[in-house]
Amino acid sequence: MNLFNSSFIMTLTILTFPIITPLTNLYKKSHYPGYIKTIISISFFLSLIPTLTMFYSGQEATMYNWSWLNIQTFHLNINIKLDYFSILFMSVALFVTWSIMEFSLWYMHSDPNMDKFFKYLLLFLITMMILVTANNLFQLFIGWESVGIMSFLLIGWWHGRSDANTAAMQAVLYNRIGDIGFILSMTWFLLYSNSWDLQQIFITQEGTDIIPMLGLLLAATGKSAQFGLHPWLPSAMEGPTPVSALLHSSTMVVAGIFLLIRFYPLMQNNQSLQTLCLCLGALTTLFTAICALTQNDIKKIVAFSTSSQLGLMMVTIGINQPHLAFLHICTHAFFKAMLFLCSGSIIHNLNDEQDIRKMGGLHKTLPITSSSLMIGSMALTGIPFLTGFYSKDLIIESATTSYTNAWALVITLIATSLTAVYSTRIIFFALLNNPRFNFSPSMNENDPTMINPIKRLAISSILAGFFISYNIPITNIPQMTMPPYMKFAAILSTVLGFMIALELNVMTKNLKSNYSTKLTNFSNMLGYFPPLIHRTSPFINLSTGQNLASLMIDLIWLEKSLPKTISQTQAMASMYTSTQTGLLKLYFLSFLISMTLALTLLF
Amino acid sequence: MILNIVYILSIMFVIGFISFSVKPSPIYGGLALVVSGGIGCAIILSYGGSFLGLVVFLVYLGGMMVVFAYTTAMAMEQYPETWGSSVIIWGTLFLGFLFELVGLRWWVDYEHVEVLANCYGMGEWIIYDAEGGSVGFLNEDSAGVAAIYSYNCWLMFVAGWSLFAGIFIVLEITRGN
Amino acid sequence: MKIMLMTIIYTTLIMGTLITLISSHWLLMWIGLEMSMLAIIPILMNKSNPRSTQPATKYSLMQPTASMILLLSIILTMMYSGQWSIFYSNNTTISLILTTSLIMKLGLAPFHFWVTEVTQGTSLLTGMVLLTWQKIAPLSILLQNFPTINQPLILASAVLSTLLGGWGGLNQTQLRKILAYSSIAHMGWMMAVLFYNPSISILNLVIYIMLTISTFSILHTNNNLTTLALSHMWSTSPPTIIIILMNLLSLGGLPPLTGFAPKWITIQEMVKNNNITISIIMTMMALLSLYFYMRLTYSTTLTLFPSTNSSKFKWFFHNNKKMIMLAPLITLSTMLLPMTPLLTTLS
Repeated sequence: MNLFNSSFIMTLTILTFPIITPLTNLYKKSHYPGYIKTIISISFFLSLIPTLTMFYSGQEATMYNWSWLNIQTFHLNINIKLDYFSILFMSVALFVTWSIMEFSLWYMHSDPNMDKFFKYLLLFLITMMILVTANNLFQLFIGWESVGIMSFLLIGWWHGRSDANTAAMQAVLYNRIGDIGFILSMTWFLLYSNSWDLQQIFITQEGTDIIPMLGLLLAATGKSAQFGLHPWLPSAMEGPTPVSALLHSSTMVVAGIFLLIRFYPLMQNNQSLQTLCLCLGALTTLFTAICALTQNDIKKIVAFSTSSQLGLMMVTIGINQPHLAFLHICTHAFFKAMLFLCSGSIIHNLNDEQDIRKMGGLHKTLPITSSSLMIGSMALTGIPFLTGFYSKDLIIESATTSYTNAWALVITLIATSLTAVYSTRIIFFALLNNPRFNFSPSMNENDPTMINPIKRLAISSILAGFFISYNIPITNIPQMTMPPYMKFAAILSTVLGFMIALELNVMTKNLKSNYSTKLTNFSNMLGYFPPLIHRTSPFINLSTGQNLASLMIDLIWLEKSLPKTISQTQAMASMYTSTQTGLLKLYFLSFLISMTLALTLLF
Repeated sequence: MILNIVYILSIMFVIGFISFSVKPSPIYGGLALVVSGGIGCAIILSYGGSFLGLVVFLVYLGGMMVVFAYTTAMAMEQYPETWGSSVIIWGTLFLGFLFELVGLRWWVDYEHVEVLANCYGMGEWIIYDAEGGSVGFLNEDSAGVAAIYSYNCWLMFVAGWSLFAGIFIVLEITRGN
Repeated sequence: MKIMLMTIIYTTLIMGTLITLISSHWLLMWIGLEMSMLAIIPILMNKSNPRSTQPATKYSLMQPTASMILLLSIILTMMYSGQWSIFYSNNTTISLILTTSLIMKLGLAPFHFWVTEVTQGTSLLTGMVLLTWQKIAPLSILLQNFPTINQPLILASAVLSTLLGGWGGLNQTQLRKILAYSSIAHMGWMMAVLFYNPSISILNLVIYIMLTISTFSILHTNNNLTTLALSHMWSTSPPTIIIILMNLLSLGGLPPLTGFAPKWITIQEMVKNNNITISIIMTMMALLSLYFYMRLTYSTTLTLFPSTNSSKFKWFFHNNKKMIMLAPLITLSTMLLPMTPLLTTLS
């Protein structure tokens, strides 16, 4: 069984080779991006060994490698957790990243800093691996922060554009808010458990304390873009498409959900926090689905769908089904990566056109991309026996059968049907009907580096859900018996969404007055959330800062109350005491006054 | 009897200075000063300091008279202000009297005012015993004068020099360029 | 004739102060004061126009009044003790009257008004005599009687002097007035420490006299009467502006210069005697004085005032006024601080 641990370590180790090789001369001879892609594919195949071993025998392990730091009774070790979550996630992430890297070879081929881009992507992946495999909070935190930094660098890849810089800054800032929660929890665990090791925390804590749990929830809200801290995710679309694909499928955004999954032994004991997760997830999934409805940027729609799916994962955490949430992370990774790669293909072929109103009829020109897009959208909406079905259907089922918050349930169901609506919208506008773009003779999809990853992901979008859910060790058993209408609730709401959306979309063929309702505006303007938060709160902060620092402290305290007052007082006193001349009688009188005063005071 | 005279003279002395300090016009101020000076001499006389009183009267009032006459001649106004010419001056004078009365009353009834200067025995006869065996009487004042000249010759020298310099200074100031 | 007259007058002036210094007899002491007071009057009005008569009149009104009150206190002392020699009586009234009269003579705070007016009315050199030589005699009386001095009164007067000296100087552009106010402030410093350690007062006085004489001398060589005139001095004699900068800062009491020493020692002595509050107040008030010295240095040294081209060649003309002992005085008044350790006998 040494193969299990050693192959796992090998998987992680070879990922670091491309970081080291640029220090040597090997770097000059090889094609660096291709080298990285190869390394990741090798790593993926290596990672299949522990994954399959785990599937076969259910083996899990924890490795304590090196005692890093001892502070009195507090021990900090480098230790790696090899459990179901980390092993499976590694395989999935490596597979998805392999495809994305290969796609990037095509997508970024004209970028002058392509080597650096690949290195960033690799680092992004490595940091996510650190996060996932961490067995203690400190390692987790290192991964957590590094993911944030790498996302900053990658979202701001085209830093010549101010939008890209703003988006990168937004990502970092929103994540800092989440980090406050994480650090709060770390501090709390340090104080009350005297350990950051997960096992020790789970042993010593029962999860009934709301403070660390709220901290974790805040951290997850920031990282996974739940409602309130969500605006950075759609903005992150300013990055290159492979970055979006990586960000949304296997790294970064799922980290928050992953954190909650890691902590489910504590979470499951805390009813109020679970209710909070449920409501927050439901709100997120509905709100972002509504926002996705009227977007015209193809990447934005896909991004909002990610946000909506993250909300769904949060709902799953809220109904205490962490394994289902993890299942959804894995299945979601395949089709979401593919959806992004398809949009990348479309965008590149249309000369960087992202507006779905200016597409149309792509099923003729880009058949494989179109089919993959269809498959991905179907999988996303949970059409039976595609990948998304296996996780999504289970989630909706366990939600409907649990005696929980009916409001959250209804909201989730509405969001599910809305998923179908915006998916239809992409398919209808981008793929069907007549072309609405200027034809370019260079449109093709014959490049294998572009089409192979999409194909790979399309196949996995069809099959992966089956394999993974086949091997899932369900710990929290979902309700197995239910009335038919409950069983069909998910599929029915999805189909309903499809039909309504199709009808509505067909209406766009008619001439329509240029008039948008308030509801459309609400959806199109992202619920007025960014203008409110991004304008009002900085304005309040800055004006408060100006009032306090500049006006109150600088002008009033440091200027007016001290120097100005002193100088004015002295000038006035000086004027009163020394402007008279020649008042001899008064000078003599001063003797009388002083004498009287002295006599009365001193006797 | 003597004490009462001294009291009355003191009251008049103060009244004289009050009249001087409300100062209607320089000429009347001078007049008040002269009157007060005369009364001062009288007080000293009534204590028996006949020599000192005489000296003060002759030297001080003599000089004062000259100054008075000179200033009167030099600075005579056509319509000098008197004590009755203005309500303010009159009021101030009245206030001065009032204060003096209050002070007197206070002094007589409560004896709170500390007596700073006691004028006693300003002119006494002393018995001297000379070396030759002769005994005689001598007025203290004149003995003091003799003592100044004999024991305090350097004081006299300094005082004389001061007077000498004083004349030159007065000349220097008044001669003009 | 003029020379003879001046000889008599200056002899009287010097002799009066000396008599006050050496005599142990109250009356002689008083006579000495009167002599120097009398002798300074013709010096004050060396020109017989109303402008110069005015300060002489003011001086001859204020000083005899003070002398009279002093004489009153002397006679009262005689009445109580029966002798003329200096005698430490503990009668509060007498010490009050004595202190007040000397404060009046020195031109300290409640009676400081005449100092500036008299100084402003006379020439620079007369002002110098008035602010230096004339302070010696009354101060010596105070020094000889320091246990008799009424402490609350003298401290109040000291604090008031530094305060009013500072405030008064802020309002002035006339150099003689500014120096008069600075004299008032310095007198305040001397009075503050008088009760604790009269030797420090003497040190204070000596250094103050050196500083004032050198400052007045520098001003006299170029006949500067106003700040504006001072600001044109760079064209007349460039080295002077640096010297006057050092001198003014020394007057203000900035550390590397001589003027810091008396302030330092005074504050130390007062703190040693647990009189922290008053020393703090006086130190703050010294800032006011420092401010107007700084303002003078600003207009003298740090800026070039706009002026016509022709005024820039005044250095070409030779200056005939020569002050004696100017160089050693300036050296003493700026660089004496390192000699402070020699003052071990003071404490």
